[in-house]
Amino acid sequence: MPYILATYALEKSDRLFMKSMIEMANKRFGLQWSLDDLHGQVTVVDIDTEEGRSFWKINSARKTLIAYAQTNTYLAPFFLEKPLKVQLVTDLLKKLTCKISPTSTLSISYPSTVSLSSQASSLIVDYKPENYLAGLLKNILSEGKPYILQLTGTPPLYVVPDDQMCYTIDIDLSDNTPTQQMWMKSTANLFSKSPLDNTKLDLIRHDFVGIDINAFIWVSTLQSSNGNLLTGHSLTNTAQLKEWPNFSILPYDSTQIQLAAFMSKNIASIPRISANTRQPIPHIINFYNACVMLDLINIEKITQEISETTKNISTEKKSLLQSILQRLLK
Amino acid sequence: MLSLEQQQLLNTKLKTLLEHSEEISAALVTTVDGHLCAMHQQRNYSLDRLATMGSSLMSLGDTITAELKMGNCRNLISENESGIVTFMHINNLLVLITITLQKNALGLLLAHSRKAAEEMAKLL
Amino acid sequence: MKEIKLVFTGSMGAGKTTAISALSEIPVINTDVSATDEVIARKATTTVALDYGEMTLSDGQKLRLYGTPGQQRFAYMWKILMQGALGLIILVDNAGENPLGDLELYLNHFHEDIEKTTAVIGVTRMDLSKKPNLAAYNDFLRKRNLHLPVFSVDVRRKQNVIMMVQALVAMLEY
Repeated sequence: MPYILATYALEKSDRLFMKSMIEMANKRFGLQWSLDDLHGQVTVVDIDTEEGRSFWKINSARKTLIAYAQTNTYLAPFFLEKPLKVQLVTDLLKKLTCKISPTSTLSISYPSTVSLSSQASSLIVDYKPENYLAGLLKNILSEGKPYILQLTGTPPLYVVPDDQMCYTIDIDLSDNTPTQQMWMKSTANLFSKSPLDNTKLDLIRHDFVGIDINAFIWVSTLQSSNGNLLTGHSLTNTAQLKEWPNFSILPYDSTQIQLAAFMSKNIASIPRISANTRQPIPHIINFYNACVMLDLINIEKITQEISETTKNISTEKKSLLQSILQRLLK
Repeated sequence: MLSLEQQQLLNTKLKTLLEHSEEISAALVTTVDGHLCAMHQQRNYSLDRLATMGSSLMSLGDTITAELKMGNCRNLISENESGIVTFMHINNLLVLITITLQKNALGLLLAHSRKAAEEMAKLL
Repeated sequence: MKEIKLVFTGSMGAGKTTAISALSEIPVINTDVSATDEVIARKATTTVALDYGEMTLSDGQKLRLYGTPGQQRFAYMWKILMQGALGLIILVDNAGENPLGDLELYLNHFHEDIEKTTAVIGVTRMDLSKKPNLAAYNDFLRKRNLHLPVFSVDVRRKQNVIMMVQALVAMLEY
């Protein structure tokens, strides 16, 4: 079977049910899916479990995941409601068949491609940041006035452009809690926006924790992009980072540091970046979008020419550098 | 750090040192953080730089002896093809550096330098 | 056996010793002595030779962490310490008198080493002094045609120091 669904943190009974439902969907609609415990192009994650939530937190930005839960608290683009129903499983598999390319190499990470197949191109639709928190915050920044943003079921965000801060409860944006995910992935129309009285600012600064607005814009863009490129940008364009994201205030992972290193030294297209860094294109797109939103990409330098310096470092040195990274993260 | 009077006293002391010890061609006093305080020489060395480098060496000596729990570092000796340089504390803020071009004069150099350092410590 | 080392340099009081302490498995060996000049108004002590710390890698090799003296008259130590280094981390005290001037000094002095290896710039104490801001540092580097990472950092936070070294390693790879 060319299409494989992996599972994570599912109960044994759920896996058995799912296997049967997949077989039924294959027979009825000529689909070609199978279930594997470990490896697949897509992974179903039970996010009602602690284990599943941890897995989601680490992998949602770079793998295709299906959230399996009672409610879609993560507002995941692919969601399977509990309890399992044949129709829902079938509909989801049909949707995925249109979106995923079968691959002969089974690996948990996205296949990385240099040249764009038409199928890969069709995966990429426009990302409109104005539809998400990132866009709301950018607008507030350019307006220069303080506002309260409120999303039902979450604490308010007090946005104060003069301070370059969002004030809220004490959080760490790298924790990626369900509340944070709701902020970052909910569409803008779900937020209510009301002016913040200037007389209340001192109290807000005192009672709440200030987090750099850019950190919110960064995380929101990364999480709401879903591998879709910003409107008006093209995969064939070339770009260079004009400055590094300030990772001391922006949540990051090691893959983003690598991307920043490559993109700061090279003018390259996204597929070329993928080929050199061996990172999946959707992941790079999310990073690219976030850098554009923070004005870190040199747009004037976007040309049709790809100028690239490839460093050839010895295997010994590469091994040493990996060893240093491992030690740092211990 | 030192008053003008103290600096003059040190300069005089160093002059006397060279007059009484013919093997010594240059002597200087530096602060532990490398500032030249007093000097006298029969040559034309760049003693400013030597003051700074000497402070680095002296602190490394102190660090090594502390690491080895060997008590205080009494002196450091640099024996070279064309002469010898010694470094020793006067007190906890000052270092005496002396230079000879005579390769076989280490004993004399150390003895005269130590005496001068003790006298300078008493003066200050 | 060739030494594996990283060098931390930068202006006096920028946090070199603190940064090395954040990473080092051993107590940092330092050569701090009493300051006897105007430096004493800012700091009671000053480094006159080097700071030293180390980390053990998985294969047993040591990654040696060296800190240079901050004051320019000890520049001969900068050269000695930089020999054979994998890369350089430059820490700039944003609360100093002339942070961009300080950065220029280190970039000038280490420019050959930076060309051969790489460098990462950490701007410390931005909580005490907001200017120059990171944009100013990035503009400064752009004018010199240098593509180096610049971060605002608090070197008392281990994660910030780790991040700078991660960036340095990534710059060495690409």
